[in-house]
Amino acid sequence: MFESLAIGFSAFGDPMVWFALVFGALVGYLIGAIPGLGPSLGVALLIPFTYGMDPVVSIVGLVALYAAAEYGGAITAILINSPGTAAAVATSWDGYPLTQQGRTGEALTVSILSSGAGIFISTLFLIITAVPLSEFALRFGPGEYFALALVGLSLVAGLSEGSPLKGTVAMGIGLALATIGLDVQTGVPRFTMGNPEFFEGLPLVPVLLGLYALSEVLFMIEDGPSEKVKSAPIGGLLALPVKTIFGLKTPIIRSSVLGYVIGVIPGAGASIASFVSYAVSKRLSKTPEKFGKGSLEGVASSEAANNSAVAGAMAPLLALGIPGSPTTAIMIGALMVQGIQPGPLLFAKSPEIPYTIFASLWVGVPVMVLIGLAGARIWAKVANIPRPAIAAIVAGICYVGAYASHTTMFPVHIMTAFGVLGYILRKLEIPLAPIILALVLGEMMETNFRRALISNKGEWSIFYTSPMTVILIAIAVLAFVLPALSQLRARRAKAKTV
Amino acid sequence: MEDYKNALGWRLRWDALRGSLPVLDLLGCAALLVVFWQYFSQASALPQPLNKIDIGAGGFPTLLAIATLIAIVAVAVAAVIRMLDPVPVTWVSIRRPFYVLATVGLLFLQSIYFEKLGALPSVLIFALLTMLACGERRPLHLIGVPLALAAFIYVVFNLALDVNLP
Repeated sequence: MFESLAIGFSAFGDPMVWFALVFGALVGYLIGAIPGLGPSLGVALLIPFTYGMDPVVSIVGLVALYAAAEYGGAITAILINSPGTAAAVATSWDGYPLTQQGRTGEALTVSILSSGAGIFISTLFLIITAVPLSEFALRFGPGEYFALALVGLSLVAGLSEGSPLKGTVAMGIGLALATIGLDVQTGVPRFTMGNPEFFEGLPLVPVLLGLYALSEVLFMIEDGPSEKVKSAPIGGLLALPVKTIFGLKTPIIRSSVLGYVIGVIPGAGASIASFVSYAVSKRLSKTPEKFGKGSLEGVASSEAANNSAVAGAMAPLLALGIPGSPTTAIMIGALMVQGIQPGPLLFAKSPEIPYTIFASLWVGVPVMVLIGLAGARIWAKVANIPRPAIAAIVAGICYVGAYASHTTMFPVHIMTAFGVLGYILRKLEIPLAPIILALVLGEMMETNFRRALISNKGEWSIFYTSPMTVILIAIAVLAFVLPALSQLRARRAKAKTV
Repeated sequence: MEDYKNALGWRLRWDALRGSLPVLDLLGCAALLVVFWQYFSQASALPQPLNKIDIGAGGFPTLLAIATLIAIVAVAVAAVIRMLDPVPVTWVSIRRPFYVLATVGLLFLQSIYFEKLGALPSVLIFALLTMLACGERRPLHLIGVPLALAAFIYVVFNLALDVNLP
């Protein structure tokens, strides 16, 4: 492991890797600080810039962007009470009251240092758990793999915002889209409408750009021109006594571990991690009455957790090939562009990729902290970039990025169609994450489903005789049923009160 | 209760188009039922497997279509239950609907004319129109942002990444 980790760190001998790290972190901060834009959109928009790049360089840039975007959301949450990302909502509960008390510098310093600590600690957990997990997954047969993909999809569909039923429909839409093209085993064209451009299936990057980025442009049009927000003056950065920072070590470590564990669960993500960690810290705090009124402990807990969820989401992606969040699902698309297939074989075939990701998460910590603290005043102004300009920039990059993916017009048409479809689906509260995940995992799921049946001479018993498959399918069913039941119960309780 | 029933449906004001989520769910389900029924028909028509132990090219899509059709019907049933429920319905609103519709048109126009106009001119023109649709009226911004964007795209994609843009 140490030898492989050394290979990961050796990648930083290349100046281009450093450039990618700093560039990714800068863009990540920018995206994260703009309310409405999140890491998913940021990673999707960065993919076109990675065409033709060395895989290691592009992965470092994307990982840096993902981590920095999760943090960037905290800046506007603290300064103007407008969280840049959903995961920074809990940060605003204490961060903004601190700003109102004239303690902006303290809040920013604690949030940046907690984010850095969160990533550092969770990366350690990632290294410890991902390798054994991938070795364990190597023993899986096609039946287990099919069930594993089903677990990932069910968790994302069940835990996604809104109704789990709509999550299931979204999963069905994504899987149906994944079946478009030539059948891998027989070569029969399926659902291609006679158009040869569909034979290779739907191009992933244009679909990602359409669903996540172009649909956001339509939401920006709805919002219209943005009003200028006035942020409080930032003073006292790094003026916090070391003793105060050291006193926050327990909530930071606890939230980092919690954030990692929650991040590993597909569909849970950084938002749930920050809410849960905030609630746990409040319950265990010696001063719970300060929470919500400007508690540094609250800021530290939320930020450590949402950033450690980044490394958590990487574990199933790298070890099993199952993305843990919409952003990692998009990242799979970026890896596929580079010809890399995440999963257990990745550690055996291309160890430099996962170990460079581990190394970049660690090396990225001081870079992120430095950029965060040094640029705090600039990031505070980012929220004032006029919305029409952002809409035009996002749309422009989408079109050029989609064209550049295949240098034909086909992906541009696909992206446009999916941009409008993404807008309609979001309006109907049909989550996009299960669609993306299903689109990414669809081929693997179908192939393993068919392989499992063939290896068992066409008998369906393979799905209920292997203990591992049974356990995984049971988890998949529970992942869907439990949130649905709890939602039904909540609705009944609400109906009684009306 | 009567007020609540009257509230179901649509409201059109000059600045916002509003519809109740259960009604929209039913419309969405109807559209998805048609799409997935077509998908099911095409999947069933795919060639049969060459041997008995395989399910063939159409097997997985057929199973998927059946499962998704069931889920769509379940969403529709849930929408009907919500309409009959005393719990107030969620409203979905589209603010500035005419500008949204105009932008959808712009997006499709850009995808048609992207190659004919050339990447940079089309980015210039459509960035300007997108900004106008988003409510920007300051001339300096309307000229500066599209120009800066086109320059950025030229430097990054043409020069740095060596992509052959039309």
